[in-house]
Amino acid sequence: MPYRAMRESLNAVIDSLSDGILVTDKQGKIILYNQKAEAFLGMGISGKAALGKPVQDHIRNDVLVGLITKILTLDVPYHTEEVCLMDIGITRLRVHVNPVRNENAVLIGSVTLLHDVARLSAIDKIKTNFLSMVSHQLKSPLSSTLLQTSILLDGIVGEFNEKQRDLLQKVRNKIKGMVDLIHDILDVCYIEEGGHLTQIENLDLAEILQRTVELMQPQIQDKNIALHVKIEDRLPLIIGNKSSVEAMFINLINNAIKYTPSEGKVCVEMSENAQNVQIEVSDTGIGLEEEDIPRIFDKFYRVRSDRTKNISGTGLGLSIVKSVVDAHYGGINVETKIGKGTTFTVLLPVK
Amino acid sequence: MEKKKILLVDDDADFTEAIKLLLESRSYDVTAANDGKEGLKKVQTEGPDLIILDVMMPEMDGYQVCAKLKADPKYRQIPILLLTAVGEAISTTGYTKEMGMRIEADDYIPKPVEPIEIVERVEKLLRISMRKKA
Repeated sequence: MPYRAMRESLNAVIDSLSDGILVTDKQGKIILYNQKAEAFLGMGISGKAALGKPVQDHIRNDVLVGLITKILTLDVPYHTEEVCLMDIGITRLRVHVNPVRNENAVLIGSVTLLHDVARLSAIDKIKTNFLSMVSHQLKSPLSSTLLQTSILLDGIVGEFNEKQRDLLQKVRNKIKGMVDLIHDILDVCYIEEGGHLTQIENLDLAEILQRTVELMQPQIQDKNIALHVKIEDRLPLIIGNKSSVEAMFINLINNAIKYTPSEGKVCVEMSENAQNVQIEVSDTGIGLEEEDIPRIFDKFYRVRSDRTKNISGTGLGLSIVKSVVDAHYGGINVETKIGKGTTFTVLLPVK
Repeated sequence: MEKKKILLVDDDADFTEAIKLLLESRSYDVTAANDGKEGLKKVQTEGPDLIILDVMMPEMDGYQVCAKLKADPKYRQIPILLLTAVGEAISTTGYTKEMGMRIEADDYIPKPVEPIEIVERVEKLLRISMRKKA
């Protein structure tokens, strides 16, 4: 087949794809794209007018331009993909940006794939709603049952013998665990349903942190842990959702307390770092194994070892923290040493 | 001294029973109502010293009952303790905006709740209201 005919039929093929495709050279100039990409990204006038032009001139989506630039500038062999979800107009796209390398592994450009996930998102939403409904339905009877067992244990309706008390205490602890789980699931659902998007306000992180710390005093005293809080004066406000930021603080500090033995130390520091508010939560706890680190933000993942077997938890705490950080366009980092302690550092951008 | 009268408005019978046992053991006189409407009626007939009000109820929810009572000069001074589910304390602001009414509860407490906490809040609210009257 002559070259021209081959090129034409290739163009026909990529224009027939239901996904959008966009290829750039190493300088970020657009060298190939199809009709779907044109439609998704609103690249204006059709007829492939954007060919040969820099991406930033024809794509008004900063996030996407940022990803392509990152792939092209961060030229390292193991950096093979950037993936993100993007809402453009009414469509939700899953975007993959990959580097293109020639046979000598030299970076020659980037390829972007845009996949419409609106239908999938809709199904996902139904599932989240269902989960949240089930949790709400369970919460009310569990709350009642918890109160009933508390009242039995209080001895208001008569005293128990030691064995009975012991059994009842165990029942109560189990119910308490279920209530905690339900709360965590509802926190996850709240974020997945986009609840954090509907109530956005200016947040004084210092104030929220202080209140959270007050709420946690009983746990701190129970375990006899020294809690140091250091908050820089006059921190900038950030824009965000109050309840999810609260949930983030609670889970970070709760974890620090939980995985730190009695008499240990937990430090919470908040400061300004470039255009971010930085929150650092460090403990003198049991620390994390290197191999566990990639999975600690996964839902329901819990480190299983002799050191953790007596520590109860739902495995949702850090996944909540991560999704709150993501929802606020922030970043989170963890440093840890077995037997020495762990430090989580969160950066939330000031906008 | 005369027993203080508490009106408990909650649609969960098990919860109501447990709170009743708890508060009666502390020498309070407790009357219960199953929903918001019945609650409002009992405010008139029983004349409680304090109202414990669940937020989530069919027919008329706790916020509406609270707003009605706080708008009525005759009942405004009765302290109200709102029982919210976790996560609702935050949505209170959202609710306030949506419904265009302010929630003027005297105190609120998230469910699930520890017996000791209920007792402490009730004592505190009654103390404040006694002082106001005096």
